[in-house]
Amino acid sequence: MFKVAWKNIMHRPLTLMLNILLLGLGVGLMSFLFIMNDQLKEKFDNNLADIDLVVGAKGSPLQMILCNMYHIDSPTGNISIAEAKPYLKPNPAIFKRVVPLSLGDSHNGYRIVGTDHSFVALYNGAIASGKLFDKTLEVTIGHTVAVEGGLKIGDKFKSSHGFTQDEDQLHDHGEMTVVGILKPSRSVLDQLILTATSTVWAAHEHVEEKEIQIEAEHNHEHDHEGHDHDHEHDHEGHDHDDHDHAGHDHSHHDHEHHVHDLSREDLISHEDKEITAMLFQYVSKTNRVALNLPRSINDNTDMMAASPPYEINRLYSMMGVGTKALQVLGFLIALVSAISIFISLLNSLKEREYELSLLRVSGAGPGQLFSLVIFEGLILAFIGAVIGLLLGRIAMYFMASRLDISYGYDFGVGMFGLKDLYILLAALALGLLASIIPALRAFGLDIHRVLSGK
Amino acid sequence: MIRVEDLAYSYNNGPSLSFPDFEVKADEACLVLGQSGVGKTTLLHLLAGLMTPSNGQIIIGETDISQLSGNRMDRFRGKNVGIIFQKNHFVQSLNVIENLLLTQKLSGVKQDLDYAKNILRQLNIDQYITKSTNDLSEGEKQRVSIARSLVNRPKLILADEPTSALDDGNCQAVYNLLKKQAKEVDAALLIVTHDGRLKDLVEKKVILNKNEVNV
Repeated sequence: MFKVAWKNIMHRPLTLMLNILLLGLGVGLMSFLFIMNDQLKEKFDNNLADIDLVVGAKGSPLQMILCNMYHIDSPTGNISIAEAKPYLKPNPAIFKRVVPLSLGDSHNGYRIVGTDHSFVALYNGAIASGKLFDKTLEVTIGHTVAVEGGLKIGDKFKSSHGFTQDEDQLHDHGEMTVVGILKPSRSVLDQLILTATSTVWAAHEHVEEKEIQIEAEHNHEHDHEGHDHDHEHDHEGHDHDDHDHAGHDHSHHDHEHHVHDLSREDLISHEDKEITAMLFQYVSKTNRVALNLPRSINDNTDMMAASPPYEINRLYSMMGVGTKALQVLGFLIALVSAISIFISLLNSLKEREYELSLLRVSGAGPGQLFSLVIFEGLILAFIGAVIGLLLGRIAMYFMASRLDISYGYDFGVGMFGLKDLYILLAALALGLLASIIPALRAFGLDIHRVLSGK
Repeated sequence: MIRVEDLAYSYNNGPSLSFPDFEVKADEACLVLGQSGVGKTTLLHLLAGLMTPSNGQIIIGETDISQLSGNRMDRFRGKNVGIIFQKNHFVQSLNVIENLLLTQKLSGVKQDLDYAKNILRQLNIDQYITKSTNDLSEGEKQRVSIARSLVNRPKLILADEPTSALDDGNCQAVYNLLKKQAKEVDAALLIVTHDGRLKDLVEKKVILNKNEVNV
């Protein structure tokens, strides 16, 4: 019976195509949304990294979080070290980590993040080869940057201003040198180029200089080899109180290039400089100081504090409306396809009354005719659903490559999982539903009437 | 062989028909004649077990099919009764040989490809084995119909107006073919017709009149 059902379906290729196309579109849209949702959630969750608070310039809190945690939006602005100072030397009883971030430059679409080693620790990053950046203009790159950007240790590149690749915006000063590559972390770390805060400053001082056309006065010497850093950066703690800034005159209004080191002291000492944001990790989320911190920052400073989980949930709920609408659309298309299967089965039943009667004459019971029609519905639903699942994957594939280009985010197409099985079962249920009335008609077919031509 | 006794059928709250007793032995041919509307098709469907009689017995071989019901009737029919309808219909999505094999399969008889091919060969249509039934001429279709009715080696072959659309020459040829094939499988052959030309060819006749019995 199954074979006959199959042959019957293949006998009407146009009807077959219409039904499969409709169901395929419906299922495809739904499965695409499922995968998309899953992947977005996964990306967002992987990158939450237990960050309890983001502090940056006033503006849209969501934008600030998207920019500084997910690196997909532009910064809300910068905050001055003078203002951030109180938080950059945090009380270890309350804060596990406070990580400074300086954004603004990129290379080949990969963002350059000026920070210190605590950023790597935040995402549980580990070095795969080479080392973490120690000096200005040294960079450590994420796994994806290395693999897809084709960078390796020892490579030198010039950063470009902004987040898109643009030849005109190349900083025409000293090149950055790759000194290390991180292991894949499945977080945003993979697509970032990490360097010292001072690297970003150095690049931007030059931009400013260029803009006011006084570059001639300066001897751009980015060769820091002559400077001797005789301290060791072994971890992210940076509690080095005894850094030797010998020879560095922190006179803030000249553009003399001096050696920066990665210590917080060095960072804080540059009160006239700016960073983009700080990422906070509390020791305890329920600490009273921690609880009051966002309000205190928002009320008393020019900075803005925002809680990532709160903002991300807001984002989910905003996306949720769109996703819901599309899901309803997908469901409607699937429903229409079920109606189409229903109608085509019913129509073919009328055409095939005689044929079905013949099957009865040849010894088939009414139950067999019933299952014949059910099989036809199920086969249609099955093919449609499989094609739909493939369509969803294909759509996701194209979407992923687009997201990759525009955001440097690396989406997978996703494995076939339990959800696909559910979709398949749902489609089969739909096929069953659509074929049950035609099947009942086949069951109750009055062969005497048909065969006597009345 | 088939034997009919006291057979009657009543339509749902409508008129009732009664049919003459008759018997057709294996290898024997018999015509069922009568005007339109006297119940020829009804008799054919009763004999095929497609309808259930209100009274009487229909014995095919040793089985009284008026006692069979549901799937058992369907199975019995598939196995023991070959029917050639006036219109030649097939499962369109299947080719010639697949139609024959499906008929075997549905009746629960073991599929026998060689036998099916052999029948097609005897009917001179073995060159169409893998052709779609839609691509055949009417005459070829009828031969495939005949082949299908024979493929399970039935005890009874029922033919509904097999010759009414044919010219004299072909009318005789088709009858001879049916007779020969029925003999081949040892089946009783019952031809329902109003085609006067067959009267001269077949000796045994059952004539139906309105509620009258004539043998």
